[in-house]
Amino acid sequence: MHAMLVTQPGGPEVFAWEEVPLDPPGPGEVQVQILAVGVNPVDRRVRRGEYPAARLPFIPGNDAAGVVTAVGSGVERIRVGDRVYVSASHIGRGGATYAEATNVLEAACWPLPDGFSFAEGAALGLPYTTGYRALALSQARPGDTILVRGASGGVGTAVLQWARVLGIATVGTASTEAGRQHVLAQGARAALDHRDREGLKALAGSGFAAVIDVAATEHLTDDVALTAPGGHVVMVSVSTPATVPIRDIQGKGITLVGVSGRTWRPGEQEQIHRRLQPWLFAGAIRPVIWRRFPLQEAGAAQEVQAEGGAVGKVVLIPPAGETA
Amino acid sequence: MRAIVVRALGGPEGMHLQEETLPPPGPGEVRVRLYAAGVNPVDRMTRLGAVGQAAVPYIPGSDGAGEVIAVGPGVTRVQVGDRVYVAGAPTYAEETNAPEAAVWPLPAHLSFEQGAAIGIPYLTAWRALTLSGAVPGDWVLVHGASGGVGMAAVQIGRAHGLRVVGTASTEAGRELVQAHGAEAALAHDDLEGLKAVTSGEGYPAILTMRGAQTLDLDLRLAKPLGTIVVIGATGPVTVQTPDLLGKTVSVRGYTNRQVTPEERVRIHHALAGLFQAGLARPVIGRRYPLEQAGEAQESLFREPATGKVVLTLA
Repeated sequence: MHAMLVTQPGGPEVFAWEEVPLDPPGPGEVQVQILAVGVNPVDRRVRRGEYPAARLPFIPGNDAAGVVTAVGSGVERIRVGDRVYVSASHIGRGGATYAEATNVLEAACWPLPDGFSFAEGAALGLPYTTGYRALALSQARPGDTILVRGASGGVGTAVLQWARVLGIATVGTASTEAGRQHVLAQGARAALDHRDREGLKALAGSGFAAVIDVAATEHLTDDVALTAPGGHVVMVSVSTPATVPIRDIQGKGITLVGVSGRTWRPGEQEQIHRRLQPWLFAGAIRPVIWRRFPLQEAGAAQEVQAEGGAVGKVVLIPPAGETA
Repeated sequence: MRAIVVRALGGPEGMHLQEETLPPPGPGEVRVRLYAAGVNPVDRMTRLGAVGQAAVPYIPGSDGAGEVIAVGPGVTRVQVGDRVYVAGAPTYAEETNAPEAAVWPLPAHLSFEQGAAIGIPYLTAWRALTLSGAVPGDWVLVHGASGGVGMAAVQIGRAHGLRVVGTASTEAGRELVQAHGAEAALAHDDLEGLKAVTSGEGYPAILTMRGAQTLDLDLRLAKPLGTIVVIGATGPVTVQTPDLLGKTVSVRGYTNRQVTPEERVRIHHALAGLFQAGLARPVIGRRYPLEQAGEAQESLFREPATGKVVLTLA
């Protein structure tokens, strides 16, 4: 099979499309023919060498969708021929999903409903687990109204959809008109530009129960100001440095939480997938795809995602996925 | 009776010692002859107009201790002659009418000064430790451990099986912190020393009275998924975001205004057990006469602490 290898830390040019061998699935493992790959911002940072390096060269990626072609001993839930999505971040050794096929632990492999495209399946893993976790950390409860800043990207969309099915009302921000249309289509009560401080203040009333900020740490002071006393501000984005309004956080009894993909508890992601499955099969949660790139253009796809302004998810399609 | 009255919000010059008359205790009220009053940072912030909306003139304070000299109709829990501590009624005065829910029995082995050191510090320490999520066996870092809230946190933490590390700016403060059960006491900015105590594992829970000064350090010291409870802060402060995001640490603002009346009652019941067993024991630092109340308040923000600052009213 072929895969996109990161040959050294660096820009998009460090990718190489190469023939690589794939072992049969080991005990507890599932082999998946990949028909779509989800691109996450962390993939680009891994490529750039911002995390402790994997042994070079390596195949990046955690999310994908496809068809099961073989199962190892001890696999119980998944069978050959199943349509599945893969969510391998911190489950086992990662996904190595920028490839035509991969072996992942069964716990990283979940049934994909018939009505979903493989591209949609590839958009589920990291965004929907991160989105759920952000919502859980926000301690928002049914009936609350929360602000989702940067609501139009992969994680933002996931937060809006999770909130809707859990009975939590949302207000979303996005930087483009298309993004705001998308936010409204996901069930948000209102969609505003990030810079519309007066509009946000008016909608906040006595304060949002929580703010989930996927956009940038530059809004932190506003986020705290827009949150009701005792509420939570959850930061999902990474940018440096951040000014923390510590006096307002103390005075209003606000809790500020930064979410990191490095701190998943064992079993936490599996639990979220078990929560997600009924909503998927009911059709109540469905990812939105923004851009598709051929797998061989992974570098360009990562750079496009990093530019921002996404309206949904960026996915990669391997050659076999074009006809699937 | 004599009382301090704040006539104008602002500096200590707005505080005056004067003769006041109290009405008899109303329904559910308890008249307490006070022998000591606790001086808390919030007293000064209120006088400055920086927290709450105090309407002048008013008698400041919330904490004190003394003897019950009269009870209003409907009071059932205390009677005339009881030694009590007060947590939640004006106390910079020789007498106060306190709601019954703010009056609690003072164990015989505690002095009135110690009783005056209970209210806000022990409530705050109890609640902040609860919010920190620390469980027995966890390391807990308490910044400003030699002050009123800090000493309470050291004692309550230790009594709950936490492994407490405290910081204080003076050698005398650090000795006090260790004498009250902290496993180690270090200077506020001793990053390497504080790291070494937990063998680099980090602190699942951190309490800070000076959020702006310690946040950057605390984000480095926190264990992944840990909680930093900010009890006091000026600010804002700039930190490097990866430290904020990289470990899923919660920075949790704490204010006593968000403690419900029911919670307060439960905490005072729980504290009674700690005081009876001697696991909690208020430590008195500086004492001031009532007429120096302004000086006492200012000293909280100026001088290093070795226990609680109280006003004596004998």
